[in-house]
Amino acid sequence: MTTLRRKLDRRLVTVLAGLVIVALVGGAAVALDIGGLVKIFGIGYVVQHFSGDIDSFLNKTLGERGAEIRGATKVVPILSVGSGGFIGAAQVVGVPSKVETVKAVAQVETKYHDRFRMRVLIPVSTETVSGSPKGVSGVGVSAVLDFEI
Amino acid sequence: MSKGRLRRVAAWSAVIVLFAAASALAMEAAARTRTWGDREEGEVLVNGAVVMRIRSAAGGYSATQRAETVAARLNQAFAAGAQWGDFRVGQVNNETALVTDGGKLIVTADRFHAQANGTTPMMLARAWNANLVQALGGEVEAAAPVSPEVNWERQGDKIVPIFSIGTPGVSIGGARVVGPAVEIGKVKAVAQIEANFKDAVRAHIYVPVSSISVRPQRVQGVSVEALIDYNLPF
Repeated sequence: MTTLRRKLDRRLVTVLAGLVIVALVGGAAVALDIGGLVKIFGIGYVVQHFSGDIDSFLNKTLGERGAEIRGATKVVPILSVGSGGFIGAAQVVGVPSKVETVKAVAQVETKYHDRFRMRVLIPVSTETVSGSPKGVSGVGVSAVLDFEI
Repeated sequence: MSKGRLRRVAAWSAVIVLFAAASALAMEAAARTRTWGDREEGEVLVNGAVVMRIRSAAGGYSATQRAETVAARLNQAFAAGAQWGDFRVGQVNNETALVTDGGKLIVTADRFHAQANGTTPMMLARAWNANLVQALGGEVEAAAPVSPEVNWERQGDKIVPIFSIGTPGVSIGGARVVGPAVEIGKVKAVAQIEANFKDAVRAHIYVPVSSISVRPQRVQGVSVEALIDYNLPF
């Protein structure tokens, strides 16, 4: 009987300790600003968790200026085709069924008439890209987002 | 015709006219269920006309229950004397919503419903307001109808200058825009709007426009495909 009580006590202590740790980690995450979250977890994590808020913010900003978009929108990370990493975020726009399939925007840097630098932004349906990315038709870019770290 | 009979006809005529006038002024909201494929949706009706559709359950309430809540809020507003001009698009808890002039929430135009209608929350709330105004016999002015059929297909492209919305005379780069051929022809430039989200995200919003001015006139269906910077030779 005493052994059973000890086992139960140990389990209770473990559960409580776990809850305290979760609360501390969760609290720290809430206390951090977006820049801090980008430093710790990366752009992909931040875009995944704040995409809805950022998208609403962008649409609200456009609405205030009378430049609303008549189409579906979504915020996704920008992938550098050269390095393969996330380098920012973009709001994509287009037909709802097509926008739904977009997972990222692939950025390809190229030169245009020697003097010009061109950043081609291609909405893609995968979270990794290599070679020449194939874009999702009917979807384009509405905004580019930089994270201040 | 005798005087008594004349009085009776006049009295009945007055009753009929009053009844007709009261019926015309009556404002009533109701909700009903609509089955769309295998999905249940809630419809909100005002004076018998569908003014909005609630397409999903949320917060433990079915789509029909949510439509009933919206209808109840409308009936409360009508009971308080609200007329067709007493509703507007506003913000509630950082979300676009249809509200009364006093700021009371009628319904939130969330992203899910906006996407389901192929539009933005702002445009959806405006469309709902326009439907409500029409159902109440009012005049629809600024409320633009939802246009779910905007074509975003890439049929052509064009390189145009980007100008900052703060300084319309100054070009700050170029952009390749893509979209339907007819719409591409209308685009004269891309207006860039700068905005900060929570002091940590700097947004450069690109609006393809049909004229260069501080009040951009968006060309719908056109988006940006590439951004072009000029490399200075020193």
